[in-house]
Formats: sequence, structure tokens, C-alpha cells
Amino acid sequence: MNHLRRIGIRALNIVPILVIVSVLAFLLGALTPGDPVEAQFASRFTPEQLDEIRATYGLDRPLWEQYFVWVKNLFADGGGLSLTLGTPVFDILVPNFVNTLILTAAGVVVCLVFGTAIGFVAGIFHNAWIDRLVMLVVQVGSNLSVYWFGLVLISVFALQLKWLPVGGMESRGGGGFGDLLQHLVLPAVSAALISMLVLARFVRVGVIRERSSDWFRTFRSQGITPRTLYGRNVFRNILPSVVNITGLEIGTLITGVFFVEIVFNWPGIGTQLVNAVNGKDYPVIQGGIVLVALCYLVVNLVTDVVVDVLNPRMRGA
Amino acid sequence: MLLGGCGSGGASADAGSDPVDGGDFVTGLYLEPRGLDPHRQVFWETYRVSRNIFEPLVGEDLTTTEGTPELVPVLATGWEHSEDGRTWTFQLREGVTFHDGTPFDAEALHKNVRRVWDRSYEFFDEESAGRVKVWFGNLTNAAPTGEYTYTFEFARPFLGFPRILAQSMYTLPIGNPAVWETYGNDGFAEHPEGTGPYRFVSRAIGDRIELERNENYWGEQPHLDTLTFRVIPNNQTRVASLLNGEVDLISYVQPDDVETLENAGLEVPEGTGAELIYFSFNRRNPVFDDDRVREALIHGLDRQALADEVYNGYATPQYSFLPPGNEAYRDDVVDFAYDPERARQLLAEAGYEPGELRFNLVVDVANENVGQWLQAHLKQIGVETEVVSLDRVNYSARVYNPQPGDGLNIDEFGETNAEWLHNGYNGLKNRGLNPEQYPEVTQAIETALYTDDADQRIALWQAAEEQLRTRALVIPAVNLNRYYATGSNVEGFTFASTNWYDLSNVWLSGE
Repeated sequence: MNHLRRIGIRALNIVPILVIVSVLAFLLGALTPGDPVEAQFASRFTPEQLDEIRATYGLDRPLWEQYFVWVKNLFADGGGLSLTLGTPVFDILVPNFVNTLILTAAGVVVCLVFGTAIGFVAGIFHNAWIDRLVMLVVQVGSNLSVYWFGLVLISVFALQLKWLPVGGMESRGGGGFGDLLQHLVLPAVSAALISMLVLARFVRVGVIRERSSDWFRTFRSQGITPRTLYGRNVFRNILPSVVNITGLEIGTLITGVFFVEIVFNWPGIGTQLVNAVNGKDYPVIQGGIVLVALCYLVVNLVTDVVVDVLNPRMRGA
Repeated sequence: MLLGGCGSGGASADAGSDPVDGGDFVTGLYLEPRGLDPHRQVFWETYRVSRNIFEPLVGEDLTTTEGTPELVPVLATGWEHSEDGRTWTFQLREGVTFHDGTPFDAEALHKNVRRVWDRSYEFFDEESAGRVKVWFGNLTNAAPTGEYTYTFEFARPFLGFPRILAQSMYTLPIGNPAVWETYGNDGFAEHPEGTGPYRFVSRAIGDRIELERNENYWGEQPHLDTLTFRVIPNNQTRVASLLNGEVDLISYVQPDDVETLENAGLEVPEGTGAELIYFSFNRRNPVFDDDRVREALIHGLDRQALADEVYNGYATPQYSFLPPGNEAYRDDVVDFAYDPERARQLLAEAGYEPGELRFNLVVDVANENVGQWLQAHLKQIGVETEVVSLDRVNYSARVYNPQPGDGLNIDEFGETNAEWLHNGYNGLKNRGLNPEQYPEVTQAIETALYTDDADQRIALWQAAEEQLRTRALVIPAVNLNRYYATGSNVEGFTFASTNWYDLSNVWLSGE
């Protein structure tokens, strides 16, 4: 009961945050320099013609009025019309957002599986050459630019080895699930890279801590094999911090995904937002920010819940 | 097209084999096309897609690389103007249907015209009207004069009209009126229908647009079964996608990538688009009110060096505000030849000691290298500049709302019609140029725009260009001579001297 109430309160907290985000998103779009109509038409039209076009989009009305029209549109009108494409904002953003979620989810899987595995191996072989090698890779890797790393992956695995496609989500003529997976490998690895290495570091430290603790020594002296101890006890003990770190890292990962989308031409919301920013397409920028913020808040909530579930001690708290 | 009977030594690329029908063709676009609505188009990339769906009354023959493309009949089979040049009558093609099977006739054309021009029409579209106003502003009357004839009447002579109809933006490609009657004006872009050789299948914004061959097309069937346009904004990714065979054609090839692509056995055809790169003055900055300053800056610019050093030679110097594909282009004119000595002298006459004239070069971050080159170059004639490199959004904001110290910025624009000069001049006015300061330029442009003498029209535009050129109102820079790249099995692609290409002659040879 207590537990459900806590989740409920957290869920409700999302509402005021979203209101603040919506105001900020609106202002961000409206107050940045430049004008979408000028950006598109000024090299060819006279100032009077530009004013006429502005009026047709309602861009000549006061800011507060534009805000309320926008909020109303968010609920009633598919987020309003995109200034550049003429289609409802959510018709543009939602399919792209789903693609971003697919990539993010793949990134999270790569991050969790490989991050935990690398960290575990390094922890178990603490101070051996394998640990040092892993730590070197971690140090170098976590300072790489996602953009650069993506291009290197394309150059090696797509252009030279020809194992994987350069970009997009499907091959010519379309493909099935296997085809999608092929297109996912490189972007998911790029997106996950930094978070995966951060996670690996935490897991490694956790494993080292657990294996040098008293209970570990006691169980070992009773003849329980290390394999059982690592698999059953150590793993479970570090699981909450794996979830926590991953939850936090999803933020980093989403930011990275935006770059990755551009490099691998993944038709996601990042690419869409960059296009929108370039075209000064306020409604799309604003709708996109609200959508990403909502996603971020939901991820945080879910992480909290999962950590609660995994850790019996936190349940009553 | 004629095919030579026996293949002689230096035969052209497609002389060897006959076109093959079929195949799925994938194009990598460098930016997201705007809404697929014939009357609301912006960006060449939009038109490169939509011209396969919508057709104009009059088109341009895009099968040659050099010179101005010839006008060809598309949905109109003939056109003539009245003696006074104010009335145009079009004979429309019979037997043409829109993609849903409804016939194209004078009534359908009328609905297209009314949508962009007639406020009393139920589906009058303010947005479209705003865009086409530049050419349809003087239209006083338009109506069918038969089932397949149509007449436009303008308040003033408008001899450039047919070629204007062959352009992409602020003109009148024909859409199916049944669509806006069903889905409304805003709904059109989601259900784009015209009479073209391809019909719309689907669009995923940010990803792709898919078209399939229109089996009921009135004209010759194109070779390719489907056209897919993928949006690949990142330059490296677009090139890599072509190298890896994931796309068959890309646009906006960067000078640095030409060699890589050619070494990989891909085609990077040579040609010149109708778009040129030019520097425009911030005329709100009073230093440019002195003719000598503007002339000095043009004299001080070695455009051949710019083409060679910044564009690796994959650009051609431009000495006129009209691009090579323009019908009024003259290749024998030079505005102010490279002469740094003369430039320094003019600046001295204008009262500037070396190093005294200072201003900002405002550039889009993609053109930062051009800005830096120009900075070093202008230093040689004693002009000190600061490069202000901005992202695209802040760039366009800054260009139209300049800071007092801003001097030059970079533009890209141009078309094949002589009337384009009028557009280009409008663009300069938006940079603060006061047309009243140059009555002879304004006058010459008006004279050419409204002439009723068909034989003199081009000569008048050339005269207007000369006025604009000799007053040093703009600095033409270069014209890219590589822009597209195609896969090794792509045949029949032509880099025509306009800003788009025709895919109806393109075919894929065996892998």
C-alpha cells in the first residue's frame, strides 16, 4: 500500500514538471533569434510578402497568445501544424520517437549486457593483465566522441568489411526483423559505448568490494565454489546499483542517441529535432522537447520502481 | 534520341547498351523535403521529389548538360501570347488523367489557378497565394476558353511566363483538385496526387518518401519501377551510403569527397546548376554606400583562386549575377576583373588607409572555410575582416537582422529564367539595398519584366544585368561544377543546367 502510494506521488510530480518544461520549451522556440519565415523566404520575397506569410501562421500575435494556442494544440490538434511540412506535429514526431525508443532500447541492452559482463570480468580478475587491459579500454573509450566513433564503425564494418549497412533502418525493398537487427548493431553499440563503459567501471568496483568482503571469505571457507558465489550472491548484490546507474545513464544515452541518429541516418527524433531547429520549425521543436522530457521523467519513475522491487529493504522506506 | 548503329571508339557512356526497364532506385537527399504540395514548395530537394508526381504546363528538356534547357510541352501542347504580351492562351493535352483517374482538363487547371489566386474560391489557399504572388500578382483574369484551352490575362505584358511555369517554386505545377476538395488545403501534402510518371506511395518524415510508376501515364513510361528518396543529412553518411551501394544517387557532393567517389568507380558528373554562390553586401552598413568600396572588394577577389583553393577546382568562377544555365547568361562579361592594385587604389580614393576598412564576414558554419579564405584574401587589399560563423538558424537570423559592423554574407540561389534577376534583386533589397538609390537598375529590370517585344526580351534582361553588374551591387563568386554522384550501375543520368534532374531517362544496368 505504502509502496503504491509512493509511486503514485512520484507519478503526480511529473505534472508540474511538465508544465514548467512546456513553458521553457515554448520560450526556447519563441525567443531564440531568427524567424522561420525569413529563414525560408527572405532571399526571394519582399518584406510585405514576408509579413503576409507570417500572418497566415499567426506569428504576428503576442507571445502569451501563441503559448496558449500551442498548449491547446498539444492536446486537441496533434501538437499544431509543422511550419515546414504542414503536417500535424505528433504525426511527425511519434513515428520518429518510436524509432528513437527502438535504438535507445537496443542501446540499453548493449549497455547492460556488455557493461555488466566487462565489469564482472575485470572485477574477478582484479589486478591481472585482463583487468588492466579492460581499464585501459574503459579509460580511452569513455573519452571518445560518439560522432567520431560512429564514423569509424561505418568505415570499418560497413565500407571495408561490408558486414553491416551504413545507415537507415531497412535495406532496399524492405526487410524483416533480422534486417532491422543488422541495421541496429552499429548505432546501438555507438550509442551505448560511453554508458556501457561507465557501468563497467561501477560493476568492477562492486565486484571487487563484494569479493573482498567477510561473507565472501566465509562462504568460500565453507567450500562454496566461486562460480556459485559470483552468480548467486555477488550478482544480486550489485544488481540495484546496475539498475540505478543504467537509469541515470539512460539520460546520457538519449543524448548520445541524437548524435548517433545523425551519423547512422537513423530516422529518429534527434534527426527530426535538428531538422526542425534548422528550419526554425517551432511547433516541432517545442513538441519534441516536451516528448523527450516526458520520456525522461517516465524512465526515472520506472527506474525507481525497479530498484524498489529489486531491493526488499527499500520497499518499506 | 538516336542510337548510333555501330559503336565507334569514343562513344558516350550509354551508347553501349540499351536501357533496361525495372528496378528500384534509391536517392539520398541532403535535406528533408518540405510538404509535397505543388503550390507550397520550398527547397530544390522538395522539387526533385515532387516533380515526379506533379507536372507543369510547360517543362524544360533536361537531357543536355550545357546551355539553357529548351522549353518542352508537358500538360500544355502549345501556348501563344497576344500582340500586347498580356494574354497567354494554352492548348492543354488531352487524354491525361490524375493518379485517381479523374481527367485533367481546363476545369482542373482552373481550380489550380483559383487555389493560388482567386479569393472567392472555396479552396483559396492563402499560403500558396503568398508564394506565387511574385509572378501571379499581375494576373487580372484567368479562365477556360474551351474544354482544353485556357487563357491567362495579366495587367502588364509578361513574356517570361512559359519558362516561369517550368520552374519549381512560386509557380503552378498541377495538383489534383479532387484531393483538396476532399482533404482540404492543409491535407494535400499527405495525399499528393498529380499527373506525373510516378505516384505517391508513402512518406515517413525524417526517413523516406516512396513513389511507384504510374502505369496510366500519358507519356513515355519511365524505366524505373519505384523511386525511393531517403533523407540523409549527414554528408559523410550520404557518401558512405553511396559507396556501400545503399543508395544510387546523392546530391550536394562536397568538393572533398569528389576524389574518393571517383576512385571508388562512381560517377560524379560534371555540369553547372542554375544556382550560384555569391556574396551579398549588408546595405544597412553605410560603408557600402560608396561605389568605390564595393568595386574595390570585387576587384580584390580572385575567383579562380577561390574555386581552386576552397572548392578543389570543382567550381567555376562567376563574373555575372546570372548563372550559366540562365537564358540571359552571357559568358563574355566580367564585372570587375581581379586587380588588387586597382582595389587598393579605389579604397584609398574612398578615404581608407590600409587596415582601416573593417567589417564582419557573416557565414553559415558550413561555409566557414570560404569565410576564412576570404578573410586572408581581403587582407591583401588592406581590408580587415572578422569571420562570424553561425549555425544555420542564427545565420539566417543575423543576415536579415544584421549587426552594424556586418559586411558580407554568402548566398546560394539562381534559376534558368531571365526573370530570376528580379528575384535576385528582391533578395538584395532584403539585405538593405534601397532600390530608389539605383533607379536605373530598378528601371531596367521593370522594362525587361514588362516588355511586350518578344525579340527584345532577352536583350533587355541582359541590359538589366549589365546595370546591376556595373553598379557592383553583388559579388558573384563561383558555381559548383560537381554536385551529384551516382552508383556505378546508374545509366542515363544528366546533370542539367538547372537545379534538379529528370529521372525518367535513368535506368539501372546489371550489377
